[in-house]
Amino acid sequence: MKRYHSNIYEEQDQDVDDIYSQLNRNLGYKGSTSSSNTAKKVSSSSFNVIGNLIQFKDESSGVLPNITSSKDNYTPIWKQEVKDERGRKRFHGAFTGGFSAGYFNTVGSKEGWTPSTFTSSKSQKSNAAQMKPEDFMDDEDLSHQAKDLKTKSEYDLFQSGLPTTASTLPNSSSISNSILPTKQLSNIFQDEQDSVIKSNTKESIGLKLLKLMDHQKKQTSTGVLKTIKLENKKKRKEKSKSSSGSSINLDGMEIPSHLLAQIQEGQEIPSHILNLLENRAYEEEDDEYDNSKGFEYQDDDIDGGGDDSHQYLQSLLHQHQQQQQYLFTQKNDAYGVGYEPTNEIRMMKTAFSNDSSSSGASSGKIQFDPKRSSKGSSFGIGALEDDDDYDVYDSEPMQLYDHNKFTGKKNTYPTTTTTTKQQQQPNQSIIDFMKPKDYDTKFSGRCSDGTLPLRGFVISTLTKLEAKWFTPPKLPAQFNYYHKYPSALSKDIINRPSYMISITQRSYMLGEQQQPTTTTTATTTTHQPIPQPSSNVIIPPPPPPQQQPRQNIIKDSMQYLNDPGRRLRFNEYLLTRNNQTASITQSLDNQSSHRDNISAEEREKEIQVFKQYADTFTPLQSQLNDRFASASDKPLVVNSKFKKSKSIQKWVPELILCKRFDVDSPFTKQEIELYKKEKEQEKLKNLNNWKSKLNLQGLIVENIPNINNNNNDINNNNSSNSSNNSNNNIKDKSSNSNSDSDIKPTTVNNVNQEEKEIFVIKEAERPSMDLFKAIFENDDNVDKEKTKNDNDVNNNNNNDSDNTQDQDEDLDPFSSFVQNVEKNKSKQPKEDQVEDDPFSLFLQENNQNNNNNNNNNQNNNNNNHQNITSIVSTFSPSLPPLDKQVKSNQFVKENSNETQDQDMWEEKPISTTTTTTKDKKDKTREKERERDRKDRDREKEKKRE
Amino acid sequence: MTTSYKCNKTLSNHQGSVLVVKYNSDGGYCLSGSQDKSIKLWNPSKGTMVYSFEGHGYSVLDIQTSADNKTIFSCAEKQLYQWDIETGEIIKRFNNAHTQTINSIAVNKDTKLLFSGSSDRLVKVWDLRIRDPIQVLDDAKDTITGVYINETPIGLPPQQCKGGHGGGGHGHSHGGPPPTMPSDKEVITSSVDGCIRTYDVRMGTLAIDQEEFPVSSMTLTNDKKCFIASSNDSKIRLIDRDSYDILKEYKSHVNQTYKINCKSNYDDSMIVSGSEDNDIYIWDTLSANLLTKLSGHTNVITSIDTHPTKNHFISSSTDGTIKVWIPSNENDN
Repeated sequence: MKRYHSNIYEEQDQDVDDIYSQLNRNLGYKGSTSSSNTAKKVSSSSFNVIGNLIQFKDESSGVLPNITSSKDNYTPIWKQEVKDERGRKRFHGAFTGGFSAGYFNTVGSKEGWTPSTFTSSKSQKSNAAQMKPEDFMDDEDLSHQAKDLKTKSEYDLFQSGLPTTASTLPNSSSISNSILPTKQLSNIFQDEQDSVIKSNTKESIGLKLLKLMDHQKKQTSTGVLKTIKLENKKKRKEKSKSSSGSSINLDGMEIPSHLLAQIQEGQEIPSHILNLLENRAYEEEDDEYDNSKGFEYQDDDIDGGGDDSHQYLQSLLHQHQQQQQYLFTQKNDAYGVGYEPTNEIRMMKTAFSNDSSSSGASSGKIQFDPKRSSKGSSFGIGALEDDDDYDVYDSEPMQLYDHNKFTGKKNTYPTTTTTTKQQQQPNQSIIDFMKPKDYDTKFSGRCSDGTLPLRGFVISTLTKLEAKWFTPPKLPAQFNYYHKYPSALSKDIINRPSYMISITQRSYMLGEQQQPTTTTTATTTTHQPIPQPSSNVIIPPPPPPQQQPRQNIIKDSMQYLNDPGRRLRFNEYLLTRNNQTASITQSLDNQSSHRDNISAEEREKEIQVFKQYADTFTPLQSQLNDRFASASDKPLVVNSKFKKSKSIQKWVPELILCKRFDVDSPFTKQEIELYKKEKEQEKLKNLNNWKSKLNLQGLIVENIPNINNNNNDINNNNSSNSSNNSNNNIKDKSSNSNSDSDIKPTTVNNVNQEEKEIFVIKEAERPSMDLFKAIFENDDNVDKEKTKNDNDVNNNNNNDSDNTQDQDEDLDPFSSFVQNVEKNKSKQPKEDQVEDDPFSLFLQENNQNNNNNNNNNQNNNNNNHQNITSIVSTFSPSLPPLDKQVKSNQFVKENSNETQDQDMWEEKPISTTTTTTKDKKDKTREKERERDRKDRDREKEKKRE
Repeated sequence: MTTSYKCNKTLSNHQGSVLVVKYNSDGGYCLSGSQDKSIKLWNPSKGTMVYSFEGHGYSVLDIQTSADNKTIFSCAEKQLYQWDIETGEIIKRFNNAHTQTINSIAVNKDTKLLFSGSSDRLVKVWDLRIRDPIQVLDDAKDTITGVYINETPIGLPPQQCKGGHGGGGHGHSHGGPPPTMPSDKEVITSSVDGCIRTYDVRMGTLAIDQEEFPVSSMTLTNDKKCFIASSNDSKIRLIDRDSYDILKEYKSHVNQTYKINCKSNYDDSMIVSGSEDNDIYIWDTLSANLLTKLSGHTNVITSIDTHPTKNHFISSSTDGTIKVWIPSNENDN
C-alpha cells in the first residue's frame, strides 16, 4: 500500500469544534451558503487527489520534511553534522570556524592559481550574460548558500505572467513543510472539469490568495457543515434503528448500504479517505463515528447506497476539507511567513516563557546534552580529522560559549547532570587555587571582567575610583627655597653663572690664549680670546693625577684662587705674561672693582704666588696646546676665509650665454674647451684632496685654485704662466722638474713656486706604457690590491701609535706588487707622477716653507732629492712614519736642521705611495677625458641642430 | 627730501606671511609671494588685488617680472616657474633646477636668460628655450643669497638709463638703449661665504669681492657703481664696485635671522630696508644717517621694494600684509 500523507494529521489532538470556530473567526465567515458546489466538485474529482505524495528525501539531507514524525527522525540543528559533498566534515571560512579552508588554507588549488586568460568580449557584447554571484562561487560556496532564496514567481508580483507548474509548488521544501495545503487549494481553484493536477498558474500569489479566500467563503461553511453533521447524526441514529438489512454491521460498525453501493460504483476508494477514516475511528471516541468504523472494513463487499449515505460522505469530505482549512491558524509569532518552528524551538520558547514568568522553574529549561556540546562534534575538524582520537575542543568545554539565546544570561548547568560537574572539576580546582586564602563570601564576587580575584586580593567595595585632587602643600612663610649646605660654599661656586659656557669661555678655560706664544705662525690680529668680563673665570684644567708634586701645587692654587677677585688678578697676570696687553687693559677696565680691594703689598705677594702657579701651569698649557694645535689653527683658517680681499680670475662664459647676452664671446671655442677641461681636472683634484686632507689636516691644499687664478691674472709675475698657453709650459716644467734643482729653486718666491706646482697638477703627463700594463694587466685584482696597497703604504709610514688607520702591517702582497711596478718603471715618468700628486705637492710646499725659513738648508734639500730617486727605486717598507713627518713639518721653525734632514728622508716613501694612487687617478682621468670629449661632441651636435 | 611717509594702502589678501614683494618694471603694479604658496598681483595705487597665481607647492621666495611685463618668474623651494601674466598659467616649469632651496632669481633684459641662485651654492643659467641649464656657476662656497644682472650701457651716464638694472627687472620697458650700444653684461651673485662675485660675460672674468661678513642680500645702486649688501649682523654696507671699499655702513635696524632685502630709492638718495623690529628704516645714502622709521607692520618686515620713478615703497611682512608707503605730502591717487 502506498504511503500517503495528509495534512489532516496535523493538530489531530485538537478539538475539531474548537478549530471550526477558530477558523470561522479567522476567515470572518458568516454566510451560510450551501456547499453543493463543493460537493459536486469533490465527487467529480472522484477522490483521486486528496493529499500529497510525500517525496521522502535521503536521510543524509538532514532535515526531514515530516514534522509529525520528528520524534523519530528529526535531529536538531545543533546535532546535525554538516558534511560536504564528499562526506567530509569540513567547514570553511572564518565564520564557520573551520579548519583547513581552501587548499591548505590558501585560495589556491592543487594546480595553483591560474588566472583566466583574457579574451576580448568586444565582439560578444550582445551575448554577454550578466554575471551572477554564483558565477564566482565554487562548489563549496554554492553548498554553503543554503537555499535558493529567489523570489518565487508566484510571489513576484512583477513577474506573475511567467507560467509555473502547480505541481512544483508542494514539492518546494518550504511549502511542503508548511501547513498550507497549497496543492489542494490550487486544485480547488481549477475548473470543475479540469481535474488534472497540473495547471498553469498565471496569477500572482496575491491574486490567488484573494481568490482562495473568496472561494473558501463560498465553499467552506462550517455552519453548513455543522448542520449537515447534525443531520447526519440524526439520520444515522434513525438508520441504525430502522434499517438493519440495508446496512452492514461489522464489528459493531454500521455502514450505510447506499454509501457502500456508491463506493462500489466509484471504482476506487481513495485511500486518503480510508486512512482518514481509520485514524478517526481510532482516535475519536465519539460514537457517531461507529458506523464509519464498520465502513472501513466493509468497503469491498457491501452493497447499497442512498441519499443519506451519499450525504454523509459529502459531509465527511467537507469535514476533511474543514480539517484542512482550520490549519490556517492565526499568525501570532514573529517567524517568517511559512516558517514552521520545530519542536525544539517551541520547547525553547515555552521554556523561556516559563523561565521568565516563574521563579527559576527549571522544568521547562532546555537541557542540552553537555557531553555532546562540549565535544563540539557539530564542527568539523578539517585537516585534523584524520586523527580520530584528537578532540580539538577537549580543552575548553563548549559551555563557556553557551549562552541562553533568550535570557542573554549564561546557561548555568545545574547539578542535575553529573557529567557537567565532572568536567567542571579541573577548572574548579584551578579556581580554588586562585581563590584567595581569606576567601570569604562577604568579599566573594568577580572582577569587572568576570574573573575571580587573585589570591591575596579582595574585590574592593569601593565601586568608583575617584581621582582626588590634592592641593599642593602650603609652604611656611619662612621657608627658604635654597638648599643649605652643611659647610659654607665657596663664593665662586655661588657666583658661577648658570648659563652655558660660551666658546670663548671654553677656549679660555682650555688655555688657548697661550697658543700664539707657542706657535709663531699665528697672526696676532685675527684670533684673540676675549677675557671674561665677570667673575666666572675658571683656572686652567687640572693636571694628570700621577704627577704628585704638581697636583699639590694645584690644590693649593685652587684654594688660593678661590677668591674670585684674586682669580681674576691671576688671570690678568697670566695674560701679562703672554704679552697680551690689549686684552689686559680690557679686562682691567671691566674688573676694576675687584682690584680696589687689595693693597700694593698684597698685590706684590700675590704676584709672587701667581708666578709660581703660572710656572706650574704653563707647561700644562703648552702640553695642551701641542695637543690641540690643529684645532686652534682652525679658527685662523675660518677667519682668513672671511678676510677682506679682492681678486679677479678668469671665467669662461658659455658660448650660448654670450649669444643670449648679445655679446661676442671673449674666448674661442678651443679656449672654452680647454678651460672646461682644466676645471674638470681641478674638480677631480679637489675630490681627491680628501685623502691629503685626511693625513695632512687640511692645511694648504684647499686654497690652491684661488691662488692659482689670482696669480695668473693679477700678479702675472711669471710671464710664461698665462693659463691660455700653459700647456707647453707645463710640459717644459714637468720635464724640468726631473732635474733636482728645479723642484726647489732657491730664489723663486713662494707664490711662484706654488704656481708652478699648480700647473703641474693641472696637466698630467701620460705615464709610460709599462705602468699602464702593470695596472691593467689584471684589472680587478689590481684595483682591489691597490686600494689595499694605499692603506698598507700608509701603514708602513705610520707605524707610530698615532696612526689613525688600523690596518694590518702585513706587507707581503703589497710590497711584492709595488716592487714589480717599480721594476717595470723607468725613473723618468715616476718623477713626473710624483710631481702631480697632492701628497707630493703638499710636501713640496712644506719644503718650500722650510726653504724660506731656512735658506741655508737648501743644499740639504737638494741632496735629499737625489736620495729620493734612489729610494724610490729600492722601496723598503720599514720607513719612518708619515705622521711623524707631518708633525715635524708643522713645527718646522722650532725644529733643528737634523730633524729636517730626517723629514726629507721621510718624504720619499710618501711619494712612492702616491705614485700608486696617482696611477689610479691617471686612469680615471683618462676615462674622464674621453667622456668629456664625447659629451662635448654631443653637445656640439645638439647646438648645431 | 621728504622724510615723512605715510602708509597709503594696505594690501592684505594673503593667507600667510608675505615673503617677497616687487614692483613690476614700470612700478604700476606689484607682485607678492607668500607663504601661502600663491603669488598675487596688486595694483598698489588702488590697493586692489588683480590676480592670484596659484600653483606653487611651497612658500614663494622670489619673483621677477620680465622687462616687457608679459611673464613673471618665481621660485619656491626647488620649484622654478615661469608664468604668463595674461592667462595666469604656468608657461614653463624648470624641472630639477636645484637640489636645494632657490633663494634668488634674475632675468635678463630681453627675457632670454634666467638666473637662479640656490642654497646648493650654485647659480644656474637657463636659456628659456632650452630645457637644461646652459651654464652652472659653481664658484661660490656657500648658499647663494642674491643674483643680479647688470646690463647697463657703457659710457652712458646713469641718469640716461634709469632702467638699466636687471636684477629687479625694473624699468627696462622704457628708455632702453639702442641695441647697437655696447653695455655691461654682468652677473653678480652674493653668497653666504661673504663673496660678491661679478661674472663679466663680455670680458670673461670673475671678480670676487671677499667681504668679512656673510652677505644675506645684495643689490646694486641705480647708478650701478655700488653694491648694497646687507648681512645678519644688522648692518647694511655700501661697497664701491671698483675698489671694493666699504663706503658706508647703515646701522640701527635689526636684522639677525631673516633675509631682509634693502634697496636704494630711484635716485639713490636713500637706502631703505626692512627690519625685524617691524619698522622700515630709511637712511640717507651719503651721510648714513637714519632719516626715518616707518611703523605700521605688526611683524618682521621681510621684503622691501622701491618704486622705479617715485619715492614710493612697498613693504611686505610676516604679518601677512603689504603696505604701500608714499610721501606724506602726496595725495592718494
